[in-house]
Amino acid sequence: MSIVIEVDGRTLGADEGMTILQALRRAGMDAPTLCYHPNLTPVNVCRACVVEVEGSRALVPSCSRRVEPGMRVRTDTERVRRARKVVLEMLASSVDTSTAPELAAHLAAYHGDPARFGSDVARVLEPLRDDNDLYVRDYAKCILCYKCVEACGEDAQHTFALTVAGRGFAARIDTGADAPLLESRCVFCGNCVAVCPTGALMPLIEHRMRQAGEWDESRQHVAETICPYCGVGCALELHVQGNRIVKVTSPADHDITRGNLCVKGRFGFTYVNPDPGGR
Amino acid sequence: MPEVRRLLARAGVADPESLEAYRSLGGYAALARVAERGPAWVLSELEASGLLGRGGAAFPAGRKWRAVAEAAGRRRVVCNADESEPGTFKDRVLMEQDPFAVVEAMTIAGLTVAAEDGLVYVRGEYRLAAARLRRAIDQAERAGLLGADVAGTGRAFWIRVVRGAGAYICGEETALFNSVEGRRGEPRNKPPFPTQAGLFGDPTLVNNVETLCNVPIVVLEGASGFRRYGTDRSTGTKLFCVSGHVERPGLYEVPFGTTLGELLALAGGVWRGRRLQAVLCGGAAGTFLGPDRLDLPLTFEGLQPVGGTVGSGAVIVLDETASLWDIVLRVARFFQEESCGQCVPCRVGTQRQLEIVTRLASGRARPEDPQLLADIGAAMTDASICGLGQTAAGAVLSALALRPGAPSSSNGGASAAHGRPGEVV
Amino acid sequence: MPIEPNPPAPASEREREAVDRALARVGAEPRRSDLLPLLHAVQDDLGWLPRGALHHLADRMNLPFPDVWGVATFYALFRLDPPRGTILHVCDDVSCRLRGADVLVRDLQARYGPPRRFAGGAHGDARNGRGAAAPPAVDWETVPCLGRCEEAPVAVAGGRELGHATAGVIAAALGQAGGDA
Repeated sequence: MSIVIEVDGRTLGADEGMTILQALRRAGMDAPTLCYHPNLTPVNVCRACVVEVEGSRALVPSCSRRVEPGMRVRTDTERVRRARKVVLEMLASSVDTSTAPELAAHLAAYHGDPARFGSDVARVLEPLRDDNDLYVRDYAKCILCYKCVEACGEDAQHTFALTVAGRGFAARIDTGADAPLLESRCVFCGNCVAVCPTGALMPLIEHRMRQAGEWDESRQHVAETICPYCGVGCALELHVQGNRIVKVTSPADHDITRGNLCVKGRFGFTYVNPDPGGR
Repeated sequence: MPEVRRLLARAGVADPESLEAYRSLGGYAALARVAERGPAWVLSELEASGLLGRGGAAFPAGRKWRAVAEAAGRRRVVCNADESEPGTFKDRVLMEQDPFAVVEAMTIAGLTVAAEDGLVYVRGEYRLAAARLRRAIDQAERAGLLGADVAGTGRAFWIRVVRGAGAYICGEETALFNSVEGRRGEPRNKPPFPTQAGLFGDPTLVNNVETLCNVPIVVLEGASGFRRYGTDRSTGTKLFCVSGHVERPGLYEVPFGTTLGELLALAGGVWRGRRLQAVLCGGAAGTFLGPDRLDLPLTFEGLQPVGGTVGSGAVIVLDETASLWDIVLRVARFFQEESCGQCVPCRVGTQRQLEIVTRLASGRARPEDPQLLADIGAAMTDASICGLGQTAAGAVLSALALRPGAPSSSNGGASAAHGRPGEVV
Repeated sequence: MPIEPNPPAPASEREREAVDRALARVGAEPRRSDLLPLLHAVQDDLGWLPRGALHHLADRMNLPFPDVWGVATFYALFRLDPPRGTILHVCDDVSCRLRGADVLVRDLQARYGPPRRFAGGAHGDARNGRGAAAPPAVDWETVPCLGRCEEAPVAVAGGRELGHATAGVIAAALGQAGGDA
């Protein structure tokens, strides 16, 4: 603890190089986040985590701003609460949040009312992109957190199959001229799916089960194992519902995988199920 | 206060494509003096001059130059010529009419901060300005005023021109860097600031065209000579782009401290003998001022208390017949179209703001709309990544302050027929 | 909204040549920072940025195609669909509006049909609302402030900047531009 900062009148210790958010969380405090992921470079675009820092005219994203000695931070002012609430309302007023539990929870915590902008406001309207056997893309749920772009690119996979295209309210995640995934650079590792916070990217099996009303996380348990495909030894979490594996993830805090897998580890599990022919 | 011609001394007088013409009117005398006196002298004069950035943010130029001069490693000089603020055309006039001044000023910057790489990022639509700059650079290189040995100093400095491609956001310096680097023009997170890590990660001096064009004047006249014009805190002269409902729209150079009324008088006053309704000062990122503000001195310190801004120097005049809300609607649409989309408050906020202003302008306002605009404005101003989002609500909220009652279709709404008298102040 | 199938488009001979010519002017190894100038050069040559040309450019620059696409779709001056005639940009921003741009736009609409508008659309022409084609072949759009407000209203017709623009002034300029083409 080489640095001392003040947060809401409390004195906190922090390590040099830490972000404000990391210092907050270590001290048992928090800020709402959507685009932040511990394994990805902070892009600080959702602005849900903003705080007041003495000396800064505008609010400051706590996920990316590093602590400085003597920094004075406020997380509970009217200005901070108002900005966070309106940002969450803006998002919820523009996308389908039905599979975005984090966003819904933050919105409730800030007593947000997305309907107050009116019922006839522009929303992100995109058709479901169901163009391959492994995962679907429902950009009507996308909050443009950039996590998938980062996971596909420099922060994990180095495949660079994704970009943000267009700009402003019309900006979208794009495979390049909206190419179907099979004709894009995608290698189907699903690392984008793993970091998506809103369910805009979803394994096909989960999507189908949700459509059929069969997806029930309360009936699921997680079995931990090691991926059998190669010698790397990635940690797998098998999500099992009704004696069938319905999803595979890897722990985000695992030293080796950091939540990432390859196409085999993430999607190559259906042979285990009682009805391996089914998807 | 009278119009002065310092920044515009050569505009319209000298052949902008002739180095000889430029030199015959005092061009490159400043570079010669810089070569003689050295960087430390330039920095101290620039700091003492009190020159503030003319691109909108009013940052002290001397402090910025010193930060880059003292930074470690390879340094760069960027001239921000992505002039895109609605109602602003001063940099275009400077580049088209006096391109050598931009080149000379950048060369002075290069020698002073010890940079070898200079770059002008010119707005994509400004083809003539880019062509004139290229021609000036070419002539300066051939005359030994640019290149491997600048004016016999033994120091190298090169300038290249990069054209933008239609994105207001690229006037934001870090978005400009990304654009030059071949990326989407999305702003970067600050810190680090450009003086620490800018273009290609190197410490970078970024100045607006007009700011740079002040530098040779500071060099030739010294800080005290420069300070003969302007006020103590807003030193020198300023280019104001007067447009809209005035008799003589155009570019006017006046000392800081000239009042809004005096500036409008220079432009011939409100046209057709009509009364003034409002002035949009600072462009889309600026604020509306009412006719009660005509005595306001145009200075950074004078405009701030009334929520105004010198901004880019755009002064757009609305006469009594103009539909204020039609203009506000256009401003709201501008930001909705120019938001880069990276951060939520600006991407969604500019969209929601446009929707609400559309309701207001068409006389369909809802009782909660003023509060919604205030909330959206607060979120954009406080939580956006860059200056675009942080200023995107200013004009809208200032219009609301000027006309607290939501307009109906009969008192200035956009649905009112063109030319029909609006609300008269 | 159906998804338009959008497979990688092979570049035509002409497109490849345009890209290769632009690259030759850059010389040696093109760097990512050459992308904007290269896109300008290809568009100046072809009149727009066809998918095939962008794919070829990405390959030659050793850049992922999505990166090039993300950049090309960001900037309003880059055209991702072929122009349907002489290009006309009409400023309808604040200063020009105060000087009659709204009337001008109405006049032009009567002559040339509805303008298109850069909408920041992510997926290119499939989502870009376009008006019906109209004779004479003019591809026109309203644009934000062009920075010539002292001559408002202003327009750019076939590359020619026009101050104090009227529908007549524009038609005359378009006639010349059309003749030149």
